[in-house]
Order: sequence, then structure tokens, then C-alpha cells
Amino acid sequence: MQQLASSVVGPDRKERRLLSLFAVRQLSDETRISIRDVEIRALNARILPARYERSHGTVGWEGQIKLLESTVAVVGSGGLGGWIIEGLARMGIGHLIIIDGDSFAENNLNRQALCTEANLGQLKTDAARERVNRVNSATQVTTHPVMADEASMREMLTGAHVVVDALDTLPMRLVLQKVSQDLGMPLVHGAIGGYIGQVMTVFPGDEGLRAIYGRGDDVPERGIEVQLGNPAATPMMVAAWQIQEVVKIVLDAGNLLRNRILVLDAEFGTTEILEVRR
Amino acid sequence: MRVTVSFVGVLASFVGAKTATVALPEGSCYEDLLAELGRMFSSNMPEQLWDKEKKTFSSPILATRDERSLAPIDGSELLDGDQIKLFLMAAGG
Repeated sequence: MQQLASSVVGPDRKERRLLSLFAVRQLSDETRISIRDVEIRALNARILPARYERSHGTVGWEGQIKLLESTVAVVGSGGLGGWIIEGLARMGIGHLIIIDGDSFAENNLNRQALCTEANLGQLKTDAARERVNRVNSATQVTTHPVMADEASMREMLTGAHVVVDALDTLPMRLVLQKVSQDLGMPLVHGAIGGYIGQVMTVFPGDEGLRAIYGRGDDVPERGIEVQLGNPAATPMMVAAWQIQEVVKIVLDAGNLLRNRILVLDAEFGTTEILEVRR
Repeated sequence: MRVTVSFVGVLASFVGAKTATVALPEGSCYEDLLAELGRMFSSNMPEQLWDKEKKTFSSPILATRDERSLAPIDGSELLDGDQIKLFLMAAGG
């Protein structure tokens, strides 16, 4: 590994050892160790896989190792989920569990990162796996192309360190929170409609979504997005915040949106962070 | 008693007003406030936002009182002079 690494002087004028993607692949082929594990070994030897060079200043050596050793479940691979999967793969999350039973339709083309004219009809989970493999082959992917219920959700989420709510119906969001809390996992919630969106992180014991949507059986299936639709930029805006919440949880860094909800309104240029009942 | 209501963001577009001062009987709660707002503004609101039969919002609406905690609309009692902000919450993904 040392022989394949090259020395460079970074923009911070510090010299560091870099390992190219070609070298990572070569080492993986020669040693039959996964690309993820080659990257982790390199980081432990303070050799930086070149793909993470521009994250390194904020993430650091130990942070990148934590990201590569983490498992994140993304539930929903549509408007929010597509961008979240893309972002988490680029950050170097080591294992993504992706759950979605849907296939791409033409009305997904306006906003869903993984949907193209060429893959209409394809399972969203298959498209997600292909995209992650193209973006970061260190990220292992487990897909579940199913419409989950509470029991199956519990099984599929097992092993995740963080769960991301990228669903599109309120009752299932509440089920996902219950299962995540039962399993002791933090949940990063995001939702969109028109030019508005919201983000909140929920830990076991928090009221979370129950404080917003209520507990009862009278929770509506959907909200104002049925009227407003979901234009292209809104899922990008909310997904970016959700990705950042996941990274902060894994790195144990910064201040989470816990017991607080970020409400974004891109049309009127407002952002509000509101306290949520505990 | 009188409470002042601010409609935040796109909700103001739907309602057709940014603020409203609402007169309510003593002891009124959020649900009473919403019913009154319905009487004042429901003709402006689309079906997906206002349920004409149930006479309440059909999309999730949340409130803050005097800039404090966000809470669902429920039977909590309001007080004279309360400043209420109403937010339209999204549910799509």
C-alpha cells in the first residue's frame, strides 16, 4: 500500500499520502479484501483514498473511518431518497440498506435523482444499487424492493446505525418512527410539498413525528403536496439537510435537529427552527 | 378575547392574508380558533387544504404560541392576546 501511495501537498500546504482509486482496486483484487476494507486499512495507516480528499478537512481520518464502518438505512428511494443515497455514497457510508417497492414512472423525472428516461419501469432499488456502484464502489448496498409493513421493516432495518425517513405517506412515517425507536436507532425525518420542506432528527424516547402529526388513526395519508406537487429543487434542499444530519450522527459532531424541526420555505425565503414537544 | 394569527409562508397565499385578529369566547382552544378561521377564509382555500365537511384543515397544520414550542392543533386553551403562528407541514417524499 505504501508503494502505491503518492505524496502530495494539499491546498492547506500540508503533505499527505494519497491512494488513487486505481490503486485501491488493485489492492482489493490482489488481496481479495473488499474495497471498503482496503480504504479503512489505508486510513488507519494515514493514507487517504483520493476520493475523500475534499471531505478530509471537515471529516478527518477517524471520521472517514467511522463513515466507512457505518450502516445507514434509507427508507424510500424516490424524490428525497435518491438524493440522500447519492450524497451518503459520496460521503463514504460503508453500507446502505435501501428499501422501496416502487418502480420509476414518467412523473418521477422532474425531481428524482435516480430516474432517467432510460430506466422508466425499473425498480428504484435496482437503480439505486447501480448508481451507488458507479459513484462509490466502497459502499456496500443491500436492497429490499418491497412495500414494507411494520414486521418486515423491523427485520430489514436490523443492523443499521441510522435510519432515514424518505417516505411519502404519513401513516408509514409513524410506523417507521415506532420501529426505529423500538430498535434503538436514530431516525432522520424529511418531508416536502411544493417549495416547502422540513427536517427533524428523532431519537428513541422522543415524541418526534407524534408531536407533529398526532398519534391517532385519523392521520391523513398525504398532505398539501397532493395540491402543490414536488418541484425539482425541494427534494434536493431537504435531502441535503438529511444527509448532513446522518453524517453528524455518525461522527457525533455538531448540533442535531433533535426536538427541533427545521421548516424551509424556498418560495418565501424563510427558514424557521421550531422547538418540538419532548 | 382576541388572538392574533400569522399565516407563515405558502399558507398565507392559500388563506389570502398574512395575519388575522380573531375574536373568540373566553375558554376557546386551538380547535375553536381553526373553526373560526374556516368561517373567515375557507372560501379561498383549496379542498386539499380545507375539509368543508369536517370544517377543519385537511393537511397537517402546526402552531406556535408566542414564539414557543410547536404543537399540534388540539384542545389546549388559548388566552387573550396570544400570538399564534400557523405553519403548513409537508408530508411528501
